[in-house]
This record gives sequence, structure tokens and C-alpha cells, in this order.
Amino acid sequence: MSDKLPEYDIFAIKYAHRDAKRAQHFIGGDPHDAPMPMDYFVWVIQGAGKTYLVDTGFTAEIAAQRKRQHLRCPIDSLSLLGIDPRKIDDVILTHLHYDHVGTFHKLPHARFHLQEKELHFVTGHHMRYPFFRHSFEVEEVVGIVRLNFKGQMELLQGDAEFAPGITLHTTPGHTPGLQVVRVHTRRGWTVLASDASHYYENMLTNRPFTTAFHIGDMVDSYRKVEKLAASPRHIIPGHDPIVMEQYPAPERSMEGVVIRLDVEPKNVETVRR
Amino acid sequence: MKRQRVGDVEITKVAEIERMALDPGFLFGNVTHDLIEANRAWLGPSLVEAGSDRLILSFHSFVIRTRHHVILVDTCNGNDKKRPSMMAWDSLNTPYLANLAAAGVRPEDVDFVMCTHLHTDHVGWNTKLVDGRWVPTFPRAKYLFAKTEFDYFDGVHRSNPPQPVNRGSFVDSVLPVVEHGQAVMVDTSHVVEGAVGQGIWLVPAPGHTPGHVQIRVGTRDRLAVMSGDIIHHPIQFAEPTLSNPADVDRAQAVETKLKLMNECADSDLTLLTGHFPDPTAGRVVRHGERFRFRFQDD
Repeated sequence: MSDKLPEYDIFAIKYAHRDAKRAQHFIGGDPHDAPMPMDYFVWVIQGAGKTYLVDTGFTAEIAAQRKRQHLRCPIDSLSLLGIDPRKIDDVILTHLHYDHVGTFHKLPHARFHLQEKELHFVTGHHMRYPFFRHSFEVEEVVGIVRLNFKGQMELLQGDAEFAPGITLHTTPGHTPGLQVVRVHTRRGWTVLASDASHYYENMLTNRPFTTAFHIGDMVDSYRKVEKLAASPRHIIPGHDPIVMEQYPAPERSMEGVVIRLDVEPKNVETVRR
Repeated sequence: MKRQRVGDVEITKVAEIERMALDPGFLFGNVTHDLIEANRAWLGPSLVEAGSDRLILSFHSFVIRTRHHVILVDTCNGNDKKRPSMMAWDSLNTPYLANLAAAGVRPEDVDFVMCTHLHTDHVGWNTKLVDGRWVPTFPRAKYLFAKTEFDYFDGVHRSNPPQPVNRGSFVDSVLPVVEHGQAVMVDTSHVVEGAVGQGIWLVPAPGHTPGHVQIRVGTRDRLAVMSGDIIHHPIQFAEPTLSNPADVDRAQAVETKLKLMNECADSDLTLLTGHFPDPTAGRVVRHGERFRFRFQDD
């Protein structure tokens, strides 16, 4: 049985929130003037004796600057799951937007796994344009460059096996170097889609999210995510509050904060009528 | 559900999913926790999940056997259908056809398939997947679709909406039937057998969808009404204004629902709804200004 892939547990920690309207999340807008709030998550993968972190969220300071509702420090929140952040050796960064990389400095000894293309993007010519740079924090970009000089960046050139039962896949569109994380769990291959689809609805109705580098690539990446996951039930969008309804808390005390993603979802509608 | 006899016609229920607990907000846009709490006792744990506010629904068909025909009413969700917008119904693999066989019905026995309306959970077994294509499950059957209903959803489909019509079911469970030449478009007052009052006939019931119909089986002595989604759950007898978010015309849906509830309460007709869990069949009684549902003893 030693050749069998490990089955990992996956947790999502909700660390921030913002109120928003539907029209803000679809290129071309939306005919319904209804609320469509956004949740912010980091994800924890545990199994085979290891704990991995996917993305690092943002700090209270950045939340205040950007007028987001900061609920808890993502790194401090790891203690809810009994995880000592100092013992995290490897962090997967899906991309370098402020809400995915912002607390990397709280993990000073970790290795960070990122697509090299993303680093090229954030140090390249597009950053002179506010449209492309507004979701990055220059100090964070500089910090990642420093980490690279220290040898702490694992810069990937395309799809890669991260660990047995965990693979990384390029899903350009939202940013050129965005990657998703495919995890082998008890219920099958589950994909942490991160910002490859902010909401279930972006992917299911093929309406790209408004923060975009290449919208054709973005739609192609929806298809890639679908192929990677065991079923549509195995795809976890990056910012959808429906995810919090869809999955149970590991225990009652964590309700509304932490959910388990390696178990079957509840019967929740993913695209509201 | 016990076999229902109306004259020489028999009606049986064939389940696809006996019980599914669904979030109350999914079923009713205007439901509250207090309303569920106030009705939990009379509804009981077979209709409201213990320890939660989730409401329990069944997904089933009715088989009508007459001296001449085998008629299948509503065809549930179907197997292998991609329904990513509603995970509870996605890529199902249920023994529905075996359940149908246990009720003595082989696919080739079915003469007519009738859908009260064209929502995804009422058309699913219209087709099945064979070699990557959706083909009619019932090879000899004529499928009776209300023309108003088909035309409405066909119009939405042709307008190229961002979301596939009825979660994808219009394309995989309705259009293939039309393409195979097995669809018959009928009026919402169509008489299927015999005559109105003595036979099997449709009655228009718009609101939830524009061409929603009731299917009635009657003799001089007894009337049974298959009401599809006019009423989704018995809690609506206590609060008839509870509205399903999918209602195309909410005001009309409430009007249609109240009209049926009043007719039921003023008579002893047997109500066979599309989603009440076993024993499913029952009758409506008045309760102050509202109503209650009395299930038949199973």
C-alpha cells in the first residue's frame, strides 16, 4: 500500500470580509443590483505528517488602508487548528496579490512556492499601469525579491508535483502567474481554485472577474480547473461566501471561521437565482 | 405511499430520492427561523430535520396505469446530469430505473411521459446518457409538454442567457426528446384520456413557471391531483405566502397555490405533490384561516 497517494485534510480559514455588489464581480456588470459580499481565506493542507499553508492573507494595516473588514490575523489563526506557524516549512503562493501574500514576513523561515512567471509580472513593465498594479503592494513585491535573494523562493516553471498527492497547476488570466493547488483527499482530487474563480458563479457562467490580466486565458483556466477536479463538487472558489455555507466547521467552536474542505459539501446552491 | 385507486385507474409513487434535507432559504426566499420553529411540532422530524431548520423533500414520479396506458408523471433529476449550480443534484447515480422496474414498469412500457413543468428536478429521467449522447429513456413514449411551458423556456434558451436554462436540463433533458420526435406540445387544459371529470386531464397552474400544469385523475366519486411544484413543502399550508425563489411570477404562484388549497379544503380530493416525503398522499383541512395537511395512513 506504500504506493498509495496520501489523503490530506484541507481547512479554510476566513480572515477578512468586504461588502460588495454583484456588478463589481463580473466584467460587463450584472443586471441585478444585489449584494454579493466577498470573503478572504487562507488554506491549510495537512497529511502524511506535514502541514502546508496556501497563501498568507493580509495584515490589519493593509485592511485599514484598503477598507477591508479584517477579522483575524491569518497566521495567528493557525493556532485554532493547533498549528505552530514556526513549524510551517513550505507555503504555496497562488499569486502575489496583496490578499494572498501579505503576511509572508510572519513566516521568516519558510520556503515559498510560486510560479516564476508571477515574479516576472510584478517586476515587469505592466506595473507602471495602475490597473495592473493596484492589487499589489510594492513593499510585498520587494520583500519577495529579497526572499529570492536569500534562497527562500521556489520558483516554478509550469505545472509541478509539490508533494505526493499535491500538484500545482498554472491557471493564467487573473494574473499571468496564477496557480491552483490540487489535493488528493478522502473524497478525491480537490482543487483550491484560489482566484482562478473568485466565485462559483464566475466559472459556472463563464463571466470573468473584473480584476484581470487576460480574460481569454481566464476562461480557459476555468476549463482547466474543471478537468483537474474529481467533479464540480471538488472545486473551491477563492472568495465565495457560499463556500462557508457549503462546508462544515471542524468543531462547533470554529463555526463561521474555519471549515473542512476534504468532506462532502452540503446541498447548497452555488449560483443564486 | 399506498397505491391510489381512482375508478379503474391506479396511481403509484416511484421514488428517486426518498429524503433530501434542503436549506430553507433555498426553498423559500421569505422563510424565517421563527416560522420554522412555530411549525416544527406539527410537521415533525420527517419534514423538518431535527436539530436544524432544513426542510425535507422527496423526489419522485407518479405512475398512472389505466386500462389503456402507462403514464409517467414527472421524471425527477436523472443520472449523470451535470448540475454544478446545485450540487445536491449533480452527477447523480440513483437506482431510479430499478425502482421503476420494481413497480412493474420497464422503460418500453411507458406510453406517455408528462412533466408538470420543465424544471430540472421534474425532467431528468426524460433522457439518459448513451455513448455520450442524451437519448429518450422511454423509447415508445410520447412526451407531453405544455406548449406555453416549452415556448417560454425555449425563448429563454434562445436568448443566450449566461446561465444554462433550468441548470442545463433544457438542453440535456428536454431538447433531445424534441429532436427524437417524441415530444407532443399540448394545451395546458389538454385531455389525456376520457373527458374532464371522468378521465385524465390537465389544468393550468401558472406562477411557479408560466406553463405549469396540474394533472388530474378523476371519476364521479374520486379525484386525485398531481400538483407538481404548486406546493413544495407542507409548511406552506401554515404560511401560503412562502415563495420559492424560482417562481417566475410570485403573485400568480401564490394565487394558484391558494386556489388549490381552498379547493382541496372544500373537498376530499387526494393531493399528490411533487416533493412531499412518504406517505406523500393526503388531503388538506382548514386550520383557522390557514390550512394543515393530513397524510394518508401508510
